[in-house]
Amino acid sequence: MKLALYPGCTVQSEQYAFEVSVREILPEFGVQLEELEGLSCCGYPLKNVSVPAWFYMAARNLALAEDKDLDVLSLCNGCNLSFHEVKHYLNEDSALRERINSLLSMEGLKYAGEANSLHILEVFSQVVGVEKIQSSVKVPLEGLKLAAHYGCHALRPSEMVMIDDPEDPHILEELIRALGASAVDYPERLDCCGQGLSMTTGKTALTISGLKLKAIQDQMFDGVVTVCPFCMKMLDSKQRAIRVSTEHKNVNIPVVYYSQLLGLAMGMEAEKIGLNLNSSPVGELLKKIGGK
Amino acid sequence: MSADEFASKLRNITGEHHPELCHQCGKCSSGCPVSSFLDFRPRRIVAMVQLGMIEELVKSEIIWQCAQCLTCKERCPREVAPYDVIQALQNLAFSYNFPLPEGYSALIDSILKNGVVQNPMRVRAWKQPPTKDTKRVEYEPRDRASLNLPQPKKPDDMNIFAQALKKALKGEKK
Repeated sequence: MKLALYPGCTVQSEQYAFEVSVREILPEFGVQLEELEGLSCCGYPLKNVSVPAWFYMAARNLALAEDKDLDVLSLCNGCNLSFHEVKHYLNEDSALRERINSLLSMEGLKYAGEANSLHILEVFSQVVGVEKIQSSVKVPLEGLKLAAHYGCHALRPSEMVMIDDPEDPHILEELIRALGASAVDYPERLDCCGQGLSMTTGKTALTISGLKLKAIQDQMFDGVVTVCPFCMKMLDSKQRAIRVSTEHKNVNIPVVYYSQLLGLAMGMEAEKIGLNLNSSPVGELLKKIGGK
Repeated sequence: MSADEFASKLRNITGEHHPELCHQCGKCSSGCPVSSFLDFRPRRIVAMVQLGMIEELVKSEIIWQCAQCLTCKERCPREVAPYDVIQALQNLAFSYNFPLPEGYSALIDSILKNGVVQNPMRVRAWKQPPTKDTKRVEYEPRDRASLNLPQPKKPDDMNIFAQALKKALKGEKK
């Protein structure tokens, strides 16, 4: 299967570990990643100020994919949701579609609604399949107790993304268990990471992340597994800031992308899956699985 | 602007949603991750919209304190979708040129100039995997090229892209 990789601004500009690990792993499962030139921001950051600008930006990227007859793999919960929502609004309103197409025509583009956006969880669980993932494991992650963190926009609004049950998802836990690790429920499982508040009230954002990480740590998890670059930015990269500026002074726990966890279980070296770019104490995971 | 006018404006912005149907059950505020920390309640915002207090809201900082988790939209039993109401209020604030939180204008400028929120940055890679007890981590720099990642994407013709986006942004401006 061929998919156009849509990294999204955050992955393309700083969360490189997600892109490195996904590019390393998917071809191993027969998923070819194509380059799509001319891509821009998905528009999601603009939806708060201008819905028309959001529609234009999202449709623009979908039109580029459509032009090459490809679906996109969106490496960000927000981008994936953005594409699904805009597709929904544009496909049901021909007048709106026309207005957006008149803007797109300035660049010679046209949106017809043919390209789809896939989430990385859909690619792993449906395109690749849990069984294939299970049989790719060379280093079973037995003994690791991991906390799944989906990220809000992987699940909500469910009528737009439809990846799993928004109040009781299992897909990420199934994928973690396929690697030999345990993934049990915890009360804070679906809590938001707080990132959406970073621009207006940064300290509240850190407090919300800190509260979740502390709860996970108190429940004796060995680490956190996520699939969203914004959540990763909060949960992995901001642990020091959380310790310094919130009451959660002892937060110190490994956080990885699912693609990195899979790479570890497939016996890949840390650098191949960008683990050297994580800020959290991922050495703890390597010690526990006897990794390299 | 009356509550009715706002409701129709809201529908123009985000499709079929009905703030007038809210019966204050409170499911939105009880699931809201921000309401535990700040004086922010989605249902109060919806109640204020019902009372026609649109101008107060549009001028207020409160509408920018939403974390955009969409729990309220998911759980609302009356198809009010408080998040969509908040998003419409934020759009109104922009179109009437009320002050936006710091950071928004830089964000818009960067997208207009680069096509993306931010250009690729140099990051740090550890030399030895840090554990909980590591006191000092030694790092080396990495960027897309040294990680063997392809060139970052951006629109082929930034001028035309920026023109189209400006037009879209201006759409509702007053």
